[in-house]
Amino acid sequence: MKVLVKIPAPLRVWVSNNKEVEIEFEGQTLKDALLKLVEIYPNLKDRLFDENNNMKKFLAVFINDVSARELGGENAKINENDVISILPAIAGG
Amino acid sequence: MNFTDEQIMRYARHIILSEIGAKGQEKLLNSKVLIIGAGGLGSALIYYLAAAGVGKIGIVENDVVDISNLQRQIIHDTNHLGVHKGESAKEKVNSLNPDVEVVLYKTFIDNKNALDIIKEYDVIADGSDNFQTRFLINDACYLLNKPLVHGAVLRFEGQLSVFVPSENNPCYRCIYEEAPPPGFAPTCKEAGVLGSVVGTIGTLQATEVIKLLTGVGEPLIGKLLVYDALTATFNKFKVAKNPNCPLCGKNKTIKDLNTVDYTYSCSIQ
Repeated sequence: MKVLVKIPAPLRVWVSNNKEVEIEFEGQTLKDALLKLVEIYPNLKDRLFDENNNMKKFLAVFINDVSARELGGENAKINENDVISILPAIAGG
Repeated sequence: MNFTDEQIMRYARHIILSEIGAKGQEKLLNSKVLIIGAGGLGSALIYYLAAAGVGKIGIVENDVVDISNLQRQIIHDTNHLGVHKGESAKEKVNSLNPDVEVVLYKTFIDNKNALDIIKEYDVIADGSDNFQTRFLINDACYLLNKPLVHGAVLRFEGQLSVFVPSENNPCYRCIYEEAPPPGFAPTCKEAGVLGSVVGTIGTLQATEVIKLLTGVGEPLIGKLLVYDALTATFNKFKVAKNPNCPLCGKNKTIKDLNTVDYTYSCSIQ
């Protein structure tokens, strides 16, 4: 399955400065897609997942502009050509 | 309320808007808004809300004006270097609009004073610069049932949302469960920020505050607006309440501000 992952500015340094990355992955869930992303870009893994492969709690992830949590969290079902957006928390004021 | 002739002239561009009118302007003049921080976001928030005639503006701030602030914190100026930011902002507001009363809280907001300060106000706007304060304000506003207008910036990006406590509306913790550990999320001091981006987000926050106070339009509830200045793009994401949110979910574990460790991850002690 092919999806587009939008990479926020703070994480681009770990994905060759790409704003978005198209990935093809086996599986059906958000976690499958993001595990494939960090397989391609291993330096990103620590930024997205903890040591137990759970997604970090200070990241918000959206599938086609809807919160992944509303769609099932890590197990949210992904469809062909979905757009996944990762949004880290920022605090500047 | 009887407007003075000067007020009718001052607020004419508001009053002529059918959605706001004299009634909306009267609401603004009778409103109380608390701004956390008189920094970059706070500068835009304070100045536009003062210009709009918000009757009482509370400012929580405990820092002095530094020359490195002036690239974005436009409520202060070079003559105010070393002056308390609250005093500097108050001086500007007083010279802009005599209708506005400014109340200064010369302190850092913490879990001991937050509820007492926030309870006096109708709407709270977050212009703070760190996660600990952001989680604290979110929690305090939820516990006091106060609307919170959230804004945050870094580099060329900004985020905006409105949190109004209710059975269905999400809070900040529903979007971000915990604060990132040090090193994972750089500050503006470490990573930089474009001054005008702070103004953009602060101004959008001021607009959301005015919408909440007057009842005009649809506040940004349940949505996260993300601005990317480099591509001149706004994206609006739908955010839902987290049923497991420790603050506003089904099984609440945060019932007062003393149960949370605000010094690190902002999670339960």
